[in-house]
Amino acid sequence: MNKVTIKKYLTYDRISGLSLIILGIIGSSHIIFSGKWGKNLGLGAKFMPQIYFILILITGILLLIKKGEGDKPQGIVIFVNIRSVLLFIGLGILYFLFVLKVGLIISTVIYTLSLYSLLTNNPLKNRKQICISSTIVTIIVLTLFEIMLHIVLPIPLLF
Amino acid sequence: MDILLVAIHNAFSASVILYTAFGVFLGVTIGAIPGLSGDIGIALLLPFVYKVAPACSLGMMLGIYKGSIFGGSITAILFGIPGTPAAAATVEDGYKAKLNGHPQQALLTALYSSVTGDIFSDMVLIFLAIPMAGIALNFGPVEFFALYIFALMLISLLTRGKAVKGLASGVIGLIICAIGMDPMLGTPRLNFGIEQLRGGISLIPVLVGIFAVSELIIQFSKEWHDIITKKLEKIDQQGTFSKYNIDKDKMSMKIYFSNLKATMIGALTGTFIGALPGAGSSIAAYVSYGLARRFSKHAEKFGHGSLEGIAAPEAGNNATCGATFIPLFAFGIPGSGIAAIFGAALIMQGITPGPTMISENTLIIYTLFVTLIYANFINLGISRLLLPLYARVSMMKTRYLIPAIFIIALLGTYTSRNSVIDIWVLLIAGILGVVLKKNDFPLGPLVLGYIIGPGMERSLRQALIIGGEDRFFLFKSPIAIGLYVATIVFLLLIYKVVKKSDKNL
Repeated sequence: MNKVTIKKYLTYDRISGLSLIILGIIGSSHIIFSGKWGKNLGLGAKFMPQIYFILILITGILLLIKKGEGDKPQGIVIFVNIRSVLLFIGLGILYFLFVLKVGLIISTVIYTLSLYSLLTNNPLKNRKQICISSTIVTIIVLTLFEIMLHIVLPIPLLF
Repeated sequence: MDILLVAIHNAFSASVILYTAFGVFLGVTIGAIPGLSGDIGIALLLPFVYKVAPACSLGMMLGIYKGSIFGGSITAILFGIPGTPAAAATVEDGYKAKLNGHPQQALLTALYSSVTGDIFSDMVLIFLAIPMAGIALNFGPVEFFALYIFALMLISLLTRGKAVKGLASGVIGLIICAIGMDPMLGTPRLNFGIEQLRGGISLIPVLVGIFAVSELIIQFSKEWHDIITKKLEKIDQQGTFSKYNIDKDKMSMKIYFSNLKATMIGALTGTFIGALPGAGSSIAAYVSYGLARRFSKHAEKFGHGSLEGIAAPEAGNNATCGATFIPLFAFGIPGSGIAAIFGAALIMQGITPGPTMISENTLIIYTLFVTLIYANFINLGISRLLLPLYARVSMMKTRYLIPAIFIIALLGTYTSRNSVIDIWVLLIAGILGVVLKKNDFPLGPLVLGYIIGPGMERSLRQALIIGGEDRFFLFKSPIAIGLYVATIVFLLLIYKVVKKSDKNL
């Protein structure tokens, strides 16, 4: 199979089908090879998860053998860039760790400044707008958590 | 009667009215911004639900839900961009009506029809939920298992054109809820040796991740891509229409009554479809539009700015608001993603959805019923008054809201249990939501599977223990057999109706 043939064959549905089959096999194998799960009263703890993974396997096979309807999903086509997903999640994790170690106010300011810079066409030119938006969000977060909802954040959080 | 009076008194307390009104305001705002929907707003509220009194938090959630469905039609009419998926059916006639020089009539027709449809649906909920819950009190494990299968099959298979994906999504939800403890034996399972997962996966990070974080990731991805490829569109969002004459665009009771037939078709259709697990507000809007066109004396005007073409889908999508709670209140089975989040909020307030919910929590449920009704009038008042403001808000760029919403989601989830594992679950659920959306998997069945999983497993295993050696015990109850037959009949019926409405559109 050359690259073009593989691309034509690998429709969204088939990739989903393959992923479900892999999930079904991993889950079923884990259940089969993980020994006994407690006392088997009635159906036992393994029965339902095993059924679920078999169902996943079946739906995966159904998607894989389904006649292809082009290489696009039928509904609204959603644009997702893997780099942007990793960036968003990465920044989110960093923000959370910063909140725990450094404190809420500084972390929120840094996080919002970096996100707005990424989402603005010309960050240097629009720095005033970015700073104002960042300050507003920080004030909203503080007001919401501390004044309106009286949520007690763990001690290292407050700074 | 005394309880009803106390409930009315509670519902009309200043705090409940204020929370509900704030919810409506937030809901219309969220709905009016393309890319954001009521699901996100309600999911974001979850971590904070236990911080305020049940009547206030539930009133606010109801307000967001009702407001967001109408809010979606503002951008649909003014800019031809549906603010929420439920408003997609309104675009065709709404935007044309605006271009024809009738933006005010179009917006107000949408508002009045939405409120009419919503009130009708709420009344049906109030009058049906109590007797249905009474019937459900006679259910045992066999009947409940049949009911869970009925709900799961409907919500999975009724997702238009993606039955297999709907089923897969539902089963993924069941797998997620199977992680943790076995509901009968207390044995840890599927936790892969991770100690923190022994107690199972918490509801809040899953729901907030699936509904809110996934949408934020998608919006961020889109905005960032536009920035780095310098493809920022500069569309004239105002739209253009010449010779606008405000006198010819005045809304009157006569216009409202001339569209009443279409509104009632929408209200009836939306209520019926909303009560079925899985069908959802966008299907209700499309089916209502198709039916209204079929029974209209001016069918030729549909698609060219017909006010009936706005009234029917708007009444239809809002009429799902009350009806979607019928299965939740009567049987404890959420029929949609929103109902699932609402069910989670009830659980967090110590109210277990199900047949005994109304009898055990009569006061709070009656308060909720009263709030349901007057929230529509608050929606009417706020939306009518602030329409010009919402028109401006709807032009707001999503990129300014992404960081704020994400911070609220992240910190809200963390502070709900002060658990770091919840943050990981939130982010993983967010990525899972993105992967599923990207591959056109519906999210509703996943949430339903997650919510009803433990109950379904418990009822099956209890039924089999009671049945002992009898292999056909699950099929010996007439109610259960009726439910299995109903599953098949409903599937065939709805499949036919949806296919027909697709053809008509």
